[in-house]
Amino acid sequence: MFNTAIGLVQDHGVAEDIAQEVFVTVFKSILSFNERSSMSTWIYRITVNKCLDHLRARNRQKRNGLSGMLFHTESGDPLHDKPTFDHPGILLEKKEKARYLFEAIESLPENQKAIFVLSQVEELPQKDIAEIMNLSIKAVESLLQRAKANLRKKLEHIYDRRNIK
Amino acid sequence: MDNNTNKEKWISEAFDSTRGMNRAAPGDAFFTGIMSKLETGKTAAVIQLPVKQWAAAAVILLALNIGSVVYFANRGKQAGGTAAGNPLASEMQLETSYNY
Repeated sequence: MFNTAIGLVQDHGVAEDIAQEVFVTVFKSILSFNERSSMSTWIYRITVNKCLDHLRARNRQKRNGLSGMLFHTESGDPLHDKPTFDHPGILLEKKEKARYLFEAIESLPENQKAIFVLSQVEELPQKDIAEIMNLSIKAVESLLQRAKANLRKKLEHIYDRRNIK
Repeated sequence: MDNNTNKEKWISEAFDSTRGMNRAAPGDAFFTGIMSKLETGKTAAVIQLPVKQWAAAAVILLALNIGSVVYFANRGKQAGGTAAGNPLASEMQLETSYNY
């Protein structure tokens, strides 16, 4: 769950906090767990929901709070370069490109972001993702395609902007 | 290689950068944090009474308040009445403070 959380929120401290909250939630509501889905799906669902709640709260803060001065009011993107995120699990030789990929992931809408992270970072099959996200497999397929198309556009933009050779 | 081919190659490598990655692990203080969150939850659970219990507690407090107000009001009246009913009260008072 920490791995999922860090992929989604891209912040070590916040991911740790969310993973701890997931532990506590699971511990407290284990008796109310109905076995309609597997335990791992249930834990993934709690983790994804907590991460999405955090991202929504962060976006609200960006738009309404004092930090509004530092972010575009509509897109929520930072006006200045934010610190880059290095996923601790990425192999050393791939770190630089992964950094750009995570920068692009950050700009995705929340559903696409969650589905892309579950598919590419967690390497979960689409059937499991559909259960976690409470969507049909077709919807997951479609959202994943859209996420990849959006990421491609964003990566092209990053490539041009940074004039990468 | 032209620029477009380079770009395509770079994008495809960026997409593949998560392949073969290790799973990220939390820091050493992770489980201590869970224990502390569970402890905090326990304290909160003691404070968080159901609505019925809150209502009962509020009614008891209100009754105690009203009771004490009524009691002290009656006591004040009784004390005042005694003083007014005894014509020698002021003299008795003077007598007690008299300095021989």
